[in-house]
Amino acid sequence: MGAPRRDGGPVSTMDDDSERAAVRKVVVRRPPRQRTAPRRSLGAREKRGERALTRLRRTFGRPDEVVRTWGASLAPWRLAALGVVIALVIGFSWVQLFRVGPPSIEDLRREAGVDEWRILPIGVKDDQPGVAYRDPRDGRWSGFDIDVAYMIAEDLGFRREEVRFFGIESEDRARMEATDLDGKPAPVKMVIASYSINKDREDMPNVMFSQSYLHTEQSVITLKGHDKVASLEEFKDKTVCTLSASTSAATAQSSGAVIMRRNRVSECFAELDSGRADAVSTDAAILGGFKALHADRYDHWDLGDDKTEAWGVSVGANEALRDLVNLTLYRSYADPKDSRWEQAYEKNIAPEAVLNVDPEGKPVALARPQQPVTPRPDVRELPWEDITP
Amino acid sequence: MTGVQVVVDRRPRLRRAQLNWLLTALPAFPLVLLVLRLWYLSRQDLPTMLLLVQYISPLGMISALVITLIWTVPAVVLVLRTLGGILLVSSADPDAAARRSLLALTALRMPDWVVLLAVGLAGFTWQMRMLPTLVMLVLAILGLTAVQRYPHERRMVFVVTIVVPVVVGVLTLLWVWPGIRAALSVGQVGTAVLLGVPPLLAWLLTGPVPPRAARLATHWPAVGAALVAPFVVGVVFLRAPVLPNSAVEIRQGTAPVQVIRGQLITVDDTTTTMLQRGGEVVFVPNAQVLSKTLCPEPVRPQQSRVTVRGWAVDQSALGWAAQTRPVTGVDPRCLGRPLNPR
Repeated sequence: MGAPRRDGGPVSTMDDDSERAAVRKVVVRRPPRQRTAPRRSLGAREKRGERALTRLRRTFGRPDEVVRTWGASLAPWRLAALGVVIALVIGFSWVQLFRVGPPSIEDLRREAGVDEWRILPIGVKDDQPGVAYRDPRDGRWSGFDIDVAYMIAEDLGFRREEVRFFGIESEDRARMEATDLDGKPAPVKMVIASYSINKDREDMPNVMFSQSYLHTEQSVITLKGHDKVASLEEFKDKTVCTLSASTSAATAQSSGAVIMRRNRVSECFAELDSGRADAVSTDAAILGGFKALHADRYDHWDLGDDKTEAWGVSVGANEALRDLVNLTLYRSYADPKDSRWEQAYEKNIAPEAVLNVDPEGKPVALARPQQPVTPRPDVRELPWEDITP
Repeated sequence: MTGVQVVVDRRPRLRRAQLNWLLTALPAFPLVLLVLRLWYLSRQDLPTMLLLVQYISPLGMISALVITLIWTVPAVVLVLRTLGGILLVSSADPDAAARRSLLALTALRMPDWVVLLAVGLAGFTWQMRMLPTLVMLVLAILGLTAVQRYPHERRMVFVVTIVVPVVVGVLTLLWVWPGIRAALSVGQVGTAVLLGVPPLLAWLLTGPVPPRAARLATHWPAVGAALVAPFVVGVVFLRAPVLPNSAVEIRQGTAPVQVIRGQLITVDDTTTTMLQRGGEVVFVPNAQVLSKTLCPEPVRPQQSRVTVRGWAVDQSALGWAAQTRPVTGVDPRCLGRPLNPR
């Protein structure tokens, strides 16, 4: 194997290798050329200048690492802060651009369709003095429900002339169909007709209540000179007139009395006057008006029933309108400058409360003299809201 | 050695070419915005859009554009300067960083007077609740500039990056404190955060972040913002009104008075042309017109009653100082009802 080394193929490869190795050996790494001229050629002046430069460089020309370590211990925290800022910016732009969050009043108005209505038809009772009463002589409406309706209409942007009241009977309230003076059906946008909020009614289609605007309770009225009354059970086997499709009818039913149902409370009083009914029982705020008008004809009695009747505004299926109504009620409740509810109470119910005493001289509670607690509706802006620190 | 030199030579050339394209495209952007605004207003109906083009003055639209979007200019400048500054001081070699990132290059070359002008403009046009953010940005830019230019003056850098931001932050916080409390008491957490958080963060934005994360934390958010910005600006501008919102009372013969609401396009010698909310164009003969009124914007900006020492948080200094006409009552005609019922 060793002899034919000089002329064979393998020899040539060996030669190549050896040549490469030889070249590699030849490569010499030279040190980088000195930029500065050799010192010997410098004079004393240059030497001094050189030294000063070196010192200056030592003072100011610190290597990059030294510079970059400035505040390096804070660097991760800075990164976190930057992350927080970026996250906040993204969050706020998202909210601003896509209007995430509760609707604004304008959104609600548009959704409710309020802007398209030229008049505001409202279903109210028309025969309950002090609550909602239409004077047949001049056609003027008055009462607590009427004032609440004006309050809501005002916030919805309707002037008094643009509010139309239609008399509505208890059984028509769920369908929101009132009747006009000619007896023709008139659909209404909302019902403010001493309408108590309860679960069964809320489950009905087309009935949606706002927050309540008045808390009252059930009471009973008899002709003057009746024995003392403390509960409806005392009318067992006697006739009690009440409103059909009302919550008081259910209570009266369970007492064992004979129930006479009428669509209008004024019809009940006619029955009482004529002697066909022994008593009229419904919400105290309604009865209080009759007692106040005819104090010497009727006796008004408190009932031992602790159930609160909370009156609310029904808006049918219009959810946005309900929110707008709630906004008005909240405004009247929470804004110290807004005393429209209090004025309505002072004007309509407070004068009656003075006259409503039972024969023993004890006052009969008609309604709570404060507006029921109303939670803040979920609306983006409440421009009137005053900051109370 | 040579390879590195090639990169050094080529990158700026590439970038310059990109910049040229950007500068070409930039003036087209407002134009596209204006046309898009008209197209949106006409509900994508070409004849309506042509009618609008015929009557809408470009000056009016440009005024709307300027009024609506003026606040974005300082925002872009200050954010670029801050993020770029952080990137510059975080990287070991600022020049290399500037070569790699347009953001760093912009920050490096941005003249100081541009920053000053932007701060002034922002101070006047930004809402009050954004002013703590402005303070944060100014402090960050100050600190970053000091670190960038005088890295060896350690005492000065310490004062500018730590002491000044902390002191100014605390002062700002003291000043807005009543506003934070007021905002929290009415449940406006967003406003409270906007007022309270930036002064707390200012002293952390004045120096380098870990070099490895620097690009991720500055360059890429800026790129993302640049990509999203045209859409944001477009959305903001599409909501801006370009025609006066008005209501016109008309009476046809003996019919009851009717109110047409919408945007008034033009009035000529025979008809009044209105664009209704649904994109429908109505021509009303002038003889039928009873009255006209201007209506406030249906979607008003959020009017927050939170104030900081008497200054409403959603007011800019300019808006605060300038006189405004308070909108007290809403005209019934703007609600679609005649002025005099019956």
